[in-house]
Amino acid sequence: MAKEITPRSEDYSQWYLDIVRKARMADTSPVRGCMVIKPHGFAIWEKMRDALDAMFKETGHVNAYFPLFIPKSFLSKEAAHVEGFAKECAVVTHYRLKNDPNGGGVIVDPEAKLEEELIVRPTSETIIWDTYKNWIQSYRDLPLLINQWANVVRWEMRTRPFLRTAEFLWQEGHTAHASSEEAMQETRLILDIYARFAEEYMAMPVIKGIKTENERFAGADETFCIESLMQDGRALQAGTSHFLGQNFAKAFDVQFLNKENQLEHVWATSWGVSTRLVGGLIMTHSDDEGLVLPPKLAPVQVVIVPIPKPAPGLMETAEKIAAQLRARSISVKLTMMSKTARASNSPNTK
Amino acid sequence: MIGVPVRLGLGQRDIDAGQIEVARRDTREKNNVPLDTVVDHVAQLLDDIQANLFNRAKAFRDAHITPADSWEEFEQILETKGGFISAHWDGTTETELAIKERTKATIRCIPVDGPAEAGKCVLTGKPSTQRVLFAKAY
Repeated sequence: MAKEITPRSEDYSQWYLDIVRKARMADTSPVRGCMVIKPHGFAIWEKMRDALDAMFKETGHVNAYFPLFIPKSFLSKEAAHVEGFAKECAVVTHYRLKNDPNGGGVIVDPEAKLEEELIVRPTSETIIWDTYKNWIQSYRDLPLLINQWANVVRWEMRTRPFLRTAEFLWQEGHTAHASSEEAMQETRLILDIYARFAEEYMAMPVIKGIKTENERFAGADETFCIESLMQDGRALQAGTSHFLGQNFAKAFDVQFLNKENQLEHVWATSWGVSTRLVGGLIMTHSDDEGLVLPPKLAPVQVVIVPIPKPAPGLMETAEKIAAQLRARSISVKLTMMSKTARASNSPNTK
Repeated sequence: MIGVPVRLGLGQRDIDAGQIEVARRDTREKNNVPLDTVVDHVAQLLDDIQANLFNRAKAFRDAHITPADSWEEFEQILETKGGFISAHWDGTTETELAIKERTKATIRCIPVDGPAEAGKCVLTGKPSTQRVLFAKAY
């Protein structure tokens, strides 16, 4: 089994792809740059999601959901933002197909052209701040501490499963505050949550830092990040937390009446981590034999196997141990059935 | 293969001897453990594995943060060792991009816990107040 994994010393990139394939975490997609996340890969992502979601909720955040499509005009309202994302946007231009009158199969119906094109969200600041305009009037409406779990699309040319894909899953937090200080506190709070999650759950050490102006998020005044190091000596940006200042509030005209009864633009943050973390997890711990997972994120923590084959009393002992482990919230898988027993229990033979 | 941290191997001979084989994935070590203490043992082992993976990754990461005080050193570390290079930078986008152009390394971050330290930019020799971390990145 292990021989089918290319050693790291020989070809690190291929080693990574071999691990993903052998551990049945992801599959290729007919659409270049996209991936199918298989059950085992998704189970790891679910564990990450659950842990992070709990940490967000403990700190007062709530979940909501905003639309996948963003009117094209929204994107250009914040100048730096559109410049950063324009080159990788997927655009919806039509809403209907029809049969080709010349018999060429299905074609886009030219009659069904959208008046305004829609962008498939690369990130949701614009649509969310357009919405916040209706939600925020006074300092009593603040802070807004909202997160969403969603998919986004960035048309990447060079992709790699989990680490960089055109469509990926993530969470994006978007908060609104009454003061610059409070928004900066939120930015730092999330940075600390990300670092704690990476180190305590992923067992992946990270360095907390600030991005240079050149590497900053398009539309942010300051971008904080956690950076980790992979086994081939290359760094991985594992999460970012942005202090957005009043940039999006100004672009979408979101003002509030402060305690002094003055109109003021709202202060903002946004922050996200994605399925890229699964790639970082694989690259941080795995070896030439295959995937290595930290117990806190392993969908199965303990497997019990018979050596060399099941015998009377073995099943009972194994099940007793499994039950005791489960009572301690340890996830256990039993692979105790013989081949014949398994065959007679399989749905195909019934 | 799918990364299960602990495997328990149970055979008739083990049961007769009142023990069970415990194998950990991270170090690939195997031990025989008495059946009546195996649950405690496994619960502790999972914590140990979690800690070991972190410590192992941290030791690797820490061993791959290398200071560079000259351009020659910078290039040499990047070519031979890789990892993070801790170096002074003059604070301009121009220099940052020039370094990226020459080496493909980018400034990963200005560490928030980094100490203030006067120095000279590794490329231009202009004054700097804090080291930043460079690396080739995914």
